[in-house]
Amino acid sequence: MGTGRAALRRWRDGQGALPTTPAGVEWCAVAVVVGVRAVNLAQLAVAFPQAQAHATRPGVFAAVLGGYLAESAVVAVLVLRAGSYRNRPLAWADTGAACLVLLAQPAFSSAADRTGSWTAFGFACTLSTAVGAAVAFGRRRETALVVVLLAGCYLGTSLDVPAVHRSTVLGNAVAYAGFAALGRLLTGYLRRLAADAERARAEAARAAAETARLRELERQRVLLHDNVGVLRLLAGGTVPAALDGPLRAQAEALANRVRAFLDEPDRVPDGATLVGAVRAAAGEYADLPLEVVTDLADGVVLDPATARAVRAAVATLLANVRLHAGATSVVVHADADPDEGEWEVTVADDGRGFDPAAAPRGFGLGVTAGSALAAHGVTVHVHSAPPRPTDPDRPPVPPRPTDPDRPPVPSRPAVPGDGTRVTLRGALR
Amino acid sequence: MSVRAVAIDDDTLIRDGLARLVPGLDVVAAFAGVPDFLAAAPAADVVLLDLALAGTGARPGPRGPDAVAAVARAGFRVLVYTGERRRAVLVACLHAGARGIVHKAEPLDALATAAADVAAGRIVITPALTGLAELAGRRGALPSLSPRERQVLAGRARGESFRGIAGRLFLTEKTAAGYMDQVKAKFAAYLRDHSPADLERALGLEPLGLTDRPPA
Repeated sequence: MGTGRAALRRWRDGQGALPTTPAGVEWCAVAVVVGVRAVNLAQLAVAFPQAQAHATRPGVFAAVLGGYLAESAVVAVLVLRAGSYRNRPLAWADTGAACLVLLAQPAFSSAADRTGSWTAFGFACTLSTAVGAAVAFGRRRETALVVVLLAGCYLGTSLDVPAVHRSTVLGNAVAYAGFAALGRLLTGYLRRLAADAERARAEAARAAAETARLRELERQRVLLHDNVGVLRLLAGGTVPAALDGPLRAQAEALANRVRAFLDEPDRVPDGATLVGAVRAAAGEYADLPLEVVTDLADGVVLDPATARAVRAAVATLLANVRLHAGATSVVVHADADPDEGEWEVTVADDGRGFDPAAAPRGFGLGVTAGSALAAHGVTVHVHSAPPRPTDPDRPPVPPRPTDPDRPPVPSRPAVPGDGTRVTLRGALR
Repeated sequence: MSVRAVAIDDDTLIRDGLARLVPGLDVVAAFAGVPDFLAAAPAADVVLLDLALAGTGARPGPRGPDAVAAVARAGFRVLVYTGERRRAVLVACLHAGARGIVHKAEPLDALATAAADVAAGRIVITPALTGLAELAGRRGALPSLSPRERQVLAGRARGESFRGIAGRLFLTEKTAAGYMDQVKAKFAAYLRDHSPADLERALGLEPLGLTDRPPA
């Protein structure tokens, strides 16, 4: 909460004095509770001379009123200083004071005057205690207990009124419950609304940051794309003499930019989340017919070392798909099952499968996606099958090497098949 | 039996190429925009509709999900044939009444199969939307899914082939594909009946995850 002057300036500018945040809602609740009490007491001050004239014991009337005024002032100072009214002991103290005020009513008001708002001021003033309880207590039963105490004290000292006023007394007793229920409804709703607004703000900020990151990534991609021409010229071998110097300088600059670009993905984004690790790995294989589905794993946090290992494993698996599978569809799927306490990442392609029993485990599946993950408690399951031997149209396929450093199998037209499905599984933190 | 198709695409190569290149697809007419198509309204089993229709300028027609809605309202089965990959746009297309979505990057035989499926009354969705259907099933938005349908959906969302699913669940491939057809029909019905914002809330996705729909 800003300064009072800043709040006044906002109010004057038509923006509302209180911010639309959870803290603003608490200030609003404080203002309502203290305000209702202050309005009641201000009205009582105006009616004080007449009320005292009707009091059966003017001295007791003044003493009770003074005491209640002092108690109200203390409550007001404490809650205004705290900026919220969620202090349970204070709320119980205020309830105790309100009960004492109600129980003291017969000491200075006649039975005939007990329903008068100013001669027997207890009912009017203690309504704000019921509202305060609705604000201060999180539990429904505590608010209900306050209502029962207030209504009980009020009924206990007011049922001796003349019969004609008895319905008024009963109606007033019900008002404690009504005010508490409405106070609770409004405060609860405003608190939820403010919490939602806060979440939306955080999301918007996160989205803005993500947009900025993507824009930067796009800028770098454009940069690299624009320099492809330089690489082609160099690859061609015959560079005109006049272009030699500028071309070399540009190639040098390009090398630096590429190095910087390659450095960037080493960071696992989003505080080492499973989704961040998977998407970071997949982001490097945009040339594949890739579909990345990660909604079910949202919010799964990994320790940074595991996230790096998962990222490296997914990248290795996608490198294998790129080199060997000839796939027309690749799915990277992440899931988390809180009941099982487990997360799961699947990399599946519809390309040429291989026989896991026959294929040698190279650096790819053997180290990166196997041993390195095992060190972090992540298991690897490989499902793959070579094309059906009964299919006469498909040539036999040699065992699929899994090491991306090995020369790739010569490219051939894509053959849709059952492909390969590798599943990584680890424990949720 | 070949499928009678109409193509709506502002790309001349696509319009002319579809008729020549896709086996099993009988492209009976092709239009550059929705207004011309609606004016002619030729009989067709399926309408292959591009989303990014630039229009002629003088007579700009609807594009994106609005184009889907216009064609579907006229009583045609719409198969969206697009390079668009944003999930929000694809969800909006199904909400607008599309019966299928195929990416232009996919092989031509995938387009032919999808056109036959849509013509036969089945729903065709992309792997990304299969993932979304799984999320919807998991979050309770598709309570009518049977346990078997959920198992098949989970396999498909993970890129598993029908052959693999059938072997794992002791079914025939045809039965597994039938379960998936049911799932897709239920998911498409849900998307038609609920706004993308409803789905976003039901799935607990980030605000604007599905409703942030820039013009196609």
